[in-house]
Amino acid sequence: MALPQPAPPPETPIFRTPDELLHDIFLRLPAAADLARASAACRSFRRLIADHAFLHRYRALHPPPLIGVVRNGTFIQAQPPHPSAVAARAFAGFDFSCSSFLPSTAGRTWRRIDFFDGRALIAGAPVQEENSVLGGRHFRYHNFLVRDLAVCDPVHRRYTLLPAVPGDLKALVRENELFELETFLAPGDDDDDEDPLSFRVMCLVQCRLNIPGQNVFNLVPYVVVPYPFLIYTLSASLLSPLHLLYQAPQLLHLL
Amino acid sequence: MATREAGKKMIMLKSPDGMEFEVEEAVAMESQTIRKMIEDDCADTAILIPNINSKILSRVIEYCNKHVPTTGATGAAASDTVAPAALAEDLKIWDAEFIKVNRATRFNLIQAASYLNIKGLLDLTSQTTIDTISDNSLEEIRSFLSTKNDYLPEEEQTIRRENQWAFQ
Repeated sequence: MALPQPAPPPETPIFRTPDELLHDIFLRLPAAADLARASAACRSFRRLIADHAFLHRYRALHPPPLIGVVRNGTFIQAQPPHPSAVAARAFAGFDFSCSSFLPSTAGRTWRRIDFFDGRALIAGAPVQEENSVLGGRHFRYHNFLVRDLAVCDPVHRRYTLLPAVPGDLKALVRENELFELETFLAPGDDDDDEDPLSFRVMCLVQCRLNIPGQNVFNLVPYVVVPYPFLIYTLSASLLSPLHLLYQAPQLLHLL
Repeated sequence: MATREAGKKMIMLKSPDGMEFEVEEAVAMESQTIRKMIEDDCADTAILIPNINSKILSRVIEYCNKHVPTTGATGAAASDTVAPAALAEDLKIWDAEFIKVNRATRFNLIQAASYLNIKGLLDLTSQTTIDTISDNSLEEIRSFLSTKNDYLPEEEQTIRRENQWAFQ
């Protein structure tokens, strides 16, 4: 006769609180739109639904649908027979520019530079004419120094302003060496237990080094990352991001 | 007990308000929580079910009685004469009647189903709430869940504007 295996300690059944039971029920809601409507019913529902851990679980169970693609500033919505076509219809003519809710300062304009996973990366800089007297590189360098970066959730009309690039990182980039500057959004974390609402903003700067004694500039591969691995969350965010939107060409950055 | 068929093990469930329910072990084991207690030999012949009053417990037992897989002499006879599809249809109608309860009872049933870990009952009780949220207006959701709109008018407006896409 086999020796009896030591039985694992029995799981203690937990008597769940009304809040936990509501969480369980909300988790079963099929679409994020249902969640959004439930949150509009009363404060306690909203508190339960806006809870970060809850949204984390919800998003893991219900990945957001792809409702379309933003390309060259134009939203191309999913068409039948795509399963998200109905959801996408609600976004026909939707203003993804974020300009209606970003703070406006005289003399500065906001311009979208990336769109990824339902969020827009927007740069604000003083209005000036590109390639005028200053020249392209000078413009880019100046822009790098003075711009504000904001990440927006266009659907929920929320944004977060990013802190300025630290001075010591800025100092690594010299104007006469600046060759390329790319700023883009990336997923928050590579870990399995990643927070689905977090994101990273990456800034890649390519410089060329002037090597003394040589007439040519040597291109240095992308080296400086002035926003190194900073992870942000839209802190006030309720449900973002629900809908996955890519600006297709920007996907190249992540390859 | 003497009137019961031989071979069917009976088990006593007690509610905290002192009521006792004698049920077949197979019926009680529809609850994964009770099943585990029995399998781990943690259960005596009587099991006290904390937190669930006799009114709710009797409804839970009613559900389990209906949903226990039909085995044994009477069960075999039943499935010989009734097609499985018809049986499932019958259960569906029965479920729909079973869940016609007021909000407090429904909530207590959800709580009991969660505690006793009865998947079918939890699905059934939760689904009515989910359907209500999915298919109805805000006012209907509030009235179904007996919750009050405690937003200030301007707050509600902001929330509606932020989630405009969800109301289309």
